[in-house]
Amino acid sequence: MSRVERATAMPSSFLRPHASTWELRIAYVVAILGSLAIAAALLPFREGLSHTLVAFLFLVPVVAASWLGGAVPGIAAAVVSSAAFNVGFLPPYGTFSFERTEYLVAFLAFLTMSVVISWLVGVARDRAIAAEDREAEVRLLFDLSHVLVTERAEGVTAVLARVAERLGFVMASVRDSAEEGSEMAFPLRVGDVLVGTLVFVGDHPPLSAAETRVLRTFADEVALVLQQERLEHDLRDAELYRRTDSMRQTLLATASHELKSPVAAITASVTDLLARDELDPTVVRDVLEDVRTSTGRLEQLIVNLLDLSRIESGALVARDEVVDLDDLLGPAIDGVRERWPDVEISVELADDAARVRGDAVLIERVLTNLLENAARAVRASANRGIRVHGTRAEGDVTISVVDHGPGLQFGDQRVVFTPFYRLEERSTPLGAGLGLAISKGFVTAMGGEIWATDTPGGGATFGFRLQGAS
Amino acid sequence: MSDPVVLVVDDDPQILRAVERALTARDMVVRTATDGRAAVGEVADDEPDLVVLDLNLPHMDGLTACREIRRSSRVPILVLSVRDAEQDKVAALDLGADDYLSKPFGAAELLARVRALLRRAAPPTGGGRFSLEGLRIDIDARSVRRGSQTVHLTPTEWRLLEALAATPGVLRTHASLLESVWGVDAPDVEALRVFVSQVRRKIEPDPRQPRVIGTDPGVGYRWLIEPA
Repeated sequence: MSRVERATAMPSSFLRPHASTWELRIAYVVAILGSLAIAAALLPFREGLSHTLVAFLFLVPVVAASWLGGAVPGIAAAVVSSAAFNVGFLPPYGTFSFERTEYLVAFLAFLTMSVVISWLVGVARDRAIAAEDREAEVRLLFDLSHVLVTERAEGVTAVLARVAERLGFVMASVRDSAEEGSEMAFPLRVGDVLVGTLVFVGDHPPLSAAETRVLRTFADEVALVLQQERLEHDLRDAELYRRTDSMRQTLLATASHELKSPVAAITASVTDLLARDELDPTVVRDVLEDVRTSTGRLEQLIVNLLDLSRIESGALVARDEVVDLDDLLGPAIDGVRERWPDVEISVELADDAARVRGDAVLIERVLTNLLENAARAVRASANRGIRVHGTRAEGDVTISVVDHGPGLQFGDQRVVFTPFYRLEERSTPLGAGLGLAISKGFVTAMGGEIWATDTPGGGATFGFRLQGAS
Repeated sequence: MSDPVVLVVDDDPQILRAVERALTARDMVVRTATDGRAAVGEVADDEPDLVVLDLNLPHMDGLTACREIRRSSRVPILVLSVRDAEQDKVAALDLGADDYLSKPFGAAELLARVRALLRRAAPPTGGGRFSLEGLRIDIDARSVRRGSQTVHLTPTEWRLLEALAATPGVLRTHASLLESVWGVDAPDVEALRVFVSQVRRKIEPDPRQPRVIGTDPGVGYRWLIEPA
């Protein structure tokens, strides 16, 4: 992290190049002035100092220069120090000559040793620098990868913005077209597939080799992430398509079953009559009544299927008007009572919950569907009561239809609004499993919500919420 | 002989009533059930002569009911289904159903299937004699004649004819025919097709529009003419 933070502080370059020109200059200054300064400092005491001590002290600028600037400034320091050592401290003073052979040997030994030392120190320094650079490079790469992986959930765009900021660019983005001309553009490739181009935008000096390496590696990682995102996207699409397709198959199969059953009943009854030699009026009446029931079923089913297709195609437009629920509940309850005379329906509608915003026709259908659903559920139960109650909370009106029938199975709450889904106990030829799906479509079209829950003490509660009106 | 008892199983009240009405009017005693579990119970308790079973039932679907009934009873089962997918028919037949009828069906078709299955279940009556236009078939006498000419059948062709004529009007699946004609070393369905077309060429007045041996595509064949 520290490296990246340091890079932010120096937006011009995110991987600091070593042995820059100013460092080299300092090294030469240290080499020359350092050697001369030591010579100047020791000169007054040259009679009392041993040659060995002087030679050791002259090694200080040599080592310093080679550590600061590498072998070359070190060798420069070695040459200057050797000259100063000879001229200033080896008799005869002031000249570059040797009074005694041992002074020549001392001079040569010092020169050789200082050159070797500066060379070794320089090499060690270069290696240390190279290692440090490599470490900085790797750490930067780690940091970028870390950002990419941990912040991926926010999206690649957000990750790139953060990375660009950290590296001192104005922005970074993935473009579709391959603008590979700029040095700040990196092709995003996975294998042979070009996924896009990663482009860094900003006032940045030419990239160093190390910087280019880091960005190229980062680009490879971005390419993998993008590729994965695309594959995941494709996979989701495929899954969605598969599910839609399988739902359509089920819908088609169920619709065909529901349509064929009444047709089969009519065909069997009518052909039976046609095959008889004598027609008993009672039997004819019986058949006609069954035919009427079957055509009624067909009609209801066709209306429902058309509604469902209007909902699913998005062609359903709900009116937005003030609707008085009292006006709708009456006919809906009467219709259900007519078909299921045993069912007892009670209504508790709070005064402020009587008026909602929505489409009167659709709301009436929803109420009828929920009541019929409840009536079918309780028809074989001990408690045949159905309670409709409406309450208002803040701006919304909630209408609940509460029954004490067999209730919902685990998991029903989620799938009960799927077309043609039938609760096992409610399964009856009269309920094709479309009422709840259509109710959901209608309520959603009016901007409301619909749900199914368990009734405390047993049974099911279906509720929906619409915007209240004053 | 007392009136045959037919158990009709369907969850659709209108279809149930239509079938019940059609069968009752033809001197059959009809019992009804609306789900698979009840049907299995009825078969065990009342031993009907025939079961008309819808495949799409609550509580226990028709295929399962079919298998359950076959565990303890050999009562003929006529399967009703709105699914006309072949695999459903084949699955039902594999599970022991004897014939099937796709909804919607006409009363005449229903009655023909019901009668065929009841007759098959009843002890055989009379000799296997059939006639259609100039064609005369006498199973017991092992003779087939067209007009004044004798039709010669190979032993295999004869076994095929015999197998089909033994159950007039009743569906014989490929598998059951292969077993009846060839036994355990049965060839494949393609060989059966070849033999059926050979027999048709020899006996049918118009082999392209068969009136003696009918085809149930993908499922099997059935003998179409009533005994004389």
